[in-house]
Amino acid sequence: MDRARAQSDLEYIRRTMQSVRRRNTEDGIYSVIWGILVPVCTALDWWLGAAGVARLYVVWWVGMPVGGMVCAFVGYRRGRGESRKPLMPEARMYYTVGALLLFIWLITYVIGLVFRLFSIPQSLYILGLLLSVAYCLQAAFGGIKGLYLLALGWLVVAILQLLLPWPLSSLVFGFSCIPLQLVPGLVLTRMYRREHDGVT
Amino acid sequence: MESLDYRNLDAVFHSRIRLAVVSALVRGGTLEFTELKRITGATEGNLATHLRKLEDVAYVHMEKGFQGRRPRTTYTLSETGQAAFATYVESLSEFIGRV
Repeated sequence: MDRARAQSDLEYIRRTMQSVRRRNTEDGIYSVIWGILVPVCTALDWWLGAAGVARLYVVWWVGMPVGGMVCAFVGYRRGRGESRKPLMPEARMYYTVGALLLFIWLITYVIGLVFRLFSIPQSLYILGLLLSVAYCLQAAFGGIKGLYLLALGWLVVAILQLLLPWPLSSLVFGFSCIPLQLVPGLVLTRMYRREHDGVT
Repeated sequence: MESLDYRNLDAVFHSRIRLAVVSALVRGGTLEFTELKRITGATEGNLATHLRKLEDVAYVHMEKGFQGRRPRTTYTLSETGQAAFATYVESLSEFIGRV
């Protein structure tokens, strides 16, 4: 065996492993769903509030459960076609960490509201931090370095929640979902489809 | 040009399909037959032959089961397979570093 063949074998191994690693990561469909829903709710909420048509947050009480139901429906549909997805430890870990982060935020949000421990910007600050951690994990598990930039983006948005006055802070948070959720979601979905259409 | 003696390498990995299967299993844990087919791009018959060879040398474990009503065949890399793969990769890396 000559050097070229040895290098080619190692490169082949590396590509196969990287490809499998990427297949473990979630595609961007959930990011796309929230990336559309959150800016729409933000805009509607702001408009309704400014126009004095309805109390603030009404949109969120409707929009968020709708988003949750859409995600649950997508997850259910995917669960039925599970054969295309491997049962991989990394994927399980990713889902577990994602669910855990969401749970932490929900608990924080509810406790904060009930006991008046947190204001809304502070709650969004925590959500921004959690999204930053989630993207860091996805970048690490999926080997997609570009996601670290999104993690940094969410960190900046999180910090802005504490610096900007409300409701500007929540508008910044809502519309940040377009570059930091919707766009990467679309990119991830495209990458995921490409990976599943044939790899090596 | 210095060369690496094929006889010193594990012959199981001389096939690209077997190499891809083991690389995928190292990374992915347990994988279904259909998933391995997609990863390797091999035909069913060809892949089944290569998987049987890997089973014969106890590098992979096969398990047949059901997911709901759908039959499912999964493969996992054994400890022997992991060790053999590590040795193979090490040999290649050492060789590249040497020349």
